[in-house]
Amino acid sequence: MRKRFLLLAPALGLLLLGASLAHASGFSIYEAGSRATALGCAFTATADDGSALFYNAAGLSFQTGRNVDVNIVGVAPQFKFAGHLTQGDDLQTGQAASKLYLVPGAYYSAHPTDKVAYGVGMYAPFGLGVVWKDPEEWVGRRISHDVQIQTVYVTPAVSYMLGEGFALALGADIASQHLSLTKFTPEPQFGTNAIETEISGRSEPNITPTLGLMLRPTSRVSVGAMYHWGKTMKFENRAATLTNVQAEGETWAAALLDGLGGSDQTVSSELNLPSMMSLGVAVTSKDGKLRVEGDYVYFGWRTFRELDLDFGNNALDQTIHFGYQDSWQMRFGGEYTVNDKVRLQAGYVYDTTPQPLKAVSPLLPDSNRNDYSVGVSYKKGSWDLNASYMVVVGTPRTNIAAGEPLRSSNDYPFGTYKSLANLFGVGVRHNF
Amino acid sequence: MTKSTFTKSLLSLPVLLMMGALLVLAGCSLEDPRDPTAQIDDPTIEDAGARYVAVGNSLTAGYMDGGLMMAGQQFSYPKLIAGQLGLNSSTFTQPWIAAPGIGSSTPSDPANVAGVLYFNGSSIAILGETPRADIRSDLLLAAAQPTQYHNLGVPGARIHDAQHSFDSSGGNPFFDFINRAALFGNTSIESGYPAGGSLVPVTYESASQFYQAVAKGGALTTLWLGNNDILGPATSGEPAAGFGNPGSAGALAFQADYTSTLVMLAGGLAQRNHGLKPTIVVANIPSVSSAPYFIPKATFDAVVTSQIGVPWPAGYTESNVQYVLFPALSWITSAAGGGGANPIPASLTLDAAETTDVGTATVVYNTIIANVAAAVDASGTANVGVVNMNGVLAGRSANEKTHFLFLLPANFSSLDLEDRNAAVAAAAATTLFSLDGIHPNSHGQGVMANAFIDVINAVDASSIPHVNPAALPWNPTYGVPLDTPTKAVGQLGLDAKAAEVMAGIWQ
Repeated sequence: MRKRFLLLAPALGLLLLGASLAHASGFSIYEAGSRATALGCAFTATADDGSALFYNAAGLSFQTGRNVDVNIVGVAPQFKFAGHLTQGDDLQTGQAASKLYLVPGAYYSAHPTDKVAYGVGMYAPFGLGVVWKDPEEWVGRRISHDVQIQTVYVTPAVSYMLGEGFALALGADIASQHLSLTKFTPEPQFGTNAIETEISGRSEPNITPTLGLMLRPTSRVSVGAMYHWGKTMKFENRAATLTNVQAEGETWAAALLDGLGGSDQTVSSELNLPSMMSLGVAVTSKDGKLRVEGDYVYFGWRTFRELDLDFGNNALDQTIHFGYQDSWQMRFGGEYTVNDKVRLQAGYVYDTTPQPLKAVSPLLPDSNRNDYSVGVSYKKGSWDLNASYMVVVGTPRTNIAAGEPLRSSNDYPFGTYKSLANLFGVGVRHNF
Repeated sequence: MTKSTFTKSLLSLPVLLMMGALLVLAGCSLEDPRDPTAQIDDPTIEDAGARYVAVGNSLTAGYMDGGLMMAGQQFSYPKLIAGQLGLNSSTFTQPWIAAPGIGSSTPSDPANVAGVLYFNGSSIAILGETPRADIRSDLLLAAAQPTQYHNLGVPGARIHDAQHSFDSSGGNPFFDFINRAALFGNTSIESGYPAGGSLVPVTYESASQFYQAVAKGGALTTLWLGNNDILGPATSGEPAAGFGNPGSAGALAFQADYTSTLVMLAGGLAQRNHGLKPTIVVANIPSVSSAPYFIPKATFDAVVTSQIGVPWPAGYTESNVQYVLFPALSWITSAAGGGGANPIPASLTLDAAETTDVGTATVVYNTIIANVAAAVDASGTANVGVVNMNGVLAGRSANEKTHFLFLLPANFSSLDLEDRNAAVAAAAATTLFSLDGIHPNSHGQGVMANAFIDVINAVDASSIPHVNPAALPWNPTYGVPLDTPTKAVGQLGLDAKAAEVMAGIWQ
């Protein structure tokens, strides 16, 4: 069996590289497993499968044997925009290209002694993918027409049973992030596309601790808490390519690139990821068939204030202001055991955005969200199969206040952004 | 089928997977956002950089009596419009020039620049001169103003200059004085504007009138250029053949420059002013027959006859002369005329063919101006109106278009001082033109301001009041007491040097 698992690992790695898309507050991806997704990710106090390595590693202490979990959540995001670049111009619309992003979660756990359990997981808790259609015409192309952030966490953790029904877990979040951003720079007077700038690169590895607590005073009540520390992902001298896209005979871009020393530049930056904290309570009915959980999740997004792009050529230096605030979520999930083989799940999430209205932009038009989820699990022997569906409904946001656009720059469009995402997850778990 | 069997079938793995697939296929979709325009307050005049900016040539600058000086600048039609808009010296700025003003230098006196012309009781003469080296220190009163002038009228500017000229390298020092590239710097900017489904490439200068007007950001901008494209060749007496014919290189170039300037001015201002739709009012080109600088041959012959008893004895170099240019008056009393022994040269006359060329060019260029203005207005980028200045001046009375000198009574030299002052005042109150015969005096500037105001009001549905042209003072003596006439009765005229200055205006 171990051999089969090892064969799976390279394939999982490839999938993780494609992980992206924000569909929780900011650009977090809270869906670390299919079954958890079906439960609205209200999973901190349950944490009874491999995704506990993200939701609450102390849950490992309450699992038995060795387990392998493989999950893939397919995400089909939709973004639409209607607005203007300058006051008085014609209405401009845009929408994100149809994409299906695969967000994996792969976990292994073992419980060698009564006191100690351990595991390792790979998942993608932060990601962003907004690719706007018709990039040459997209009204927000001066800010971004293709942004991708992919963040992979590898978390080994050990959980120790401190006492009856009380476990403490300690782990390490080893993270690597890939960031790419592509946008057009206009010729300054009349805005025709002149230079396409693409910055792309992978961060240095970053390690921070993670903690989990689980208390189960009775067989029907479970209380959980988890904390993942915030991170600073560092990028040193990564590639920045400035491509002249002006029509033949136009010289502005060529002259500018000559002055900058050519198309190939380097860029360094630091991107702060928020801390994550969750408190959850789960209660099981007397007959054991229904369990419900409610979680309060808090993201320390206030560290994501701005993104300094420090180019090798100082003339290109740029700071993108985000000004995020901390945000919170309420997550509710319920699971009903139909019989020995079948369990049904449902969930609801209210997710507040950390993004101030002024920062709503083509990079990420974030919003408060309501998530609705359902799922079903099927057990056959030592195998558990799960399928889940979640729809993430963003609240429309219009970056206009008191009759005035909140961005005075001619680069930032103003108008109404709408977002929605369909998520479909599948997971398989093997206990041995 | 029993209930348990049904449940088992319903919840079998293939069915569950199929249900999941259906959920994906039936995933929710996103409706289109609404146009948020209603949430945005319409841009207002406060979004503009300035209430009013004027782009043009000497007519716009307030060039009067052969020179640019405060006495005339204060009555430039842009300044008069600004006054009616409630703007003051701070909110509508001009490149003020001290006395004796800046006219043109003369070939016989290249070290100095002549000031404005004045009437000394006998002739039109030069009020004063300034050494070229002292112009900046002695005459340019607003050279240190840190922002562009609201009045961007540059004497001598043609339509091509609007986007491309920024300093005296082309031979016109007024670009140095008004555009002030030395203060603001200048960069050649490659750009373009969409037309006919493609991008028309344009290179313009950042210190040009066009760019300074965009930077200034007028909610209202007047653009009156094109006159020099006609008058320059016409006042040379030898207009290039075909410069105004439809389809000629001259007309095509004029059309390209006018289109580029107006389209990009409209687009640039809309961007500069946060979407506020600019109002741009342009004016067309008056016919040369409206300006007393062009003296009909019959009139000139009569003037000469009144002074020397016969028409010009040596006649004209050109045959079929239609107009004699004003500086030819100096020939009556100057050595150049040789006492009537030398024919009036071709450079001082327009023959029939030349007159037709100038007339055709005026019609063609005015058609271009009307068509381009209509197209830009129809594009929705700006509200564009056209002042039919050609029609306005054509509709004025003959006396209003008669030179001051010709309005004086024939017996002017024999009048006593009081009567001569009264005669000067009466003539000055009648004509719309200043002593150089081609630039309006303050009355003429008032008429032009009202013509602009009428179109501005029509375009903006506003009610800017007219100025009263008759109340605008113009004193052709510039306060210099009238000399006892040194010329005989009927020999009032033009000093030779003043004639040289007048001719130099166009060179």
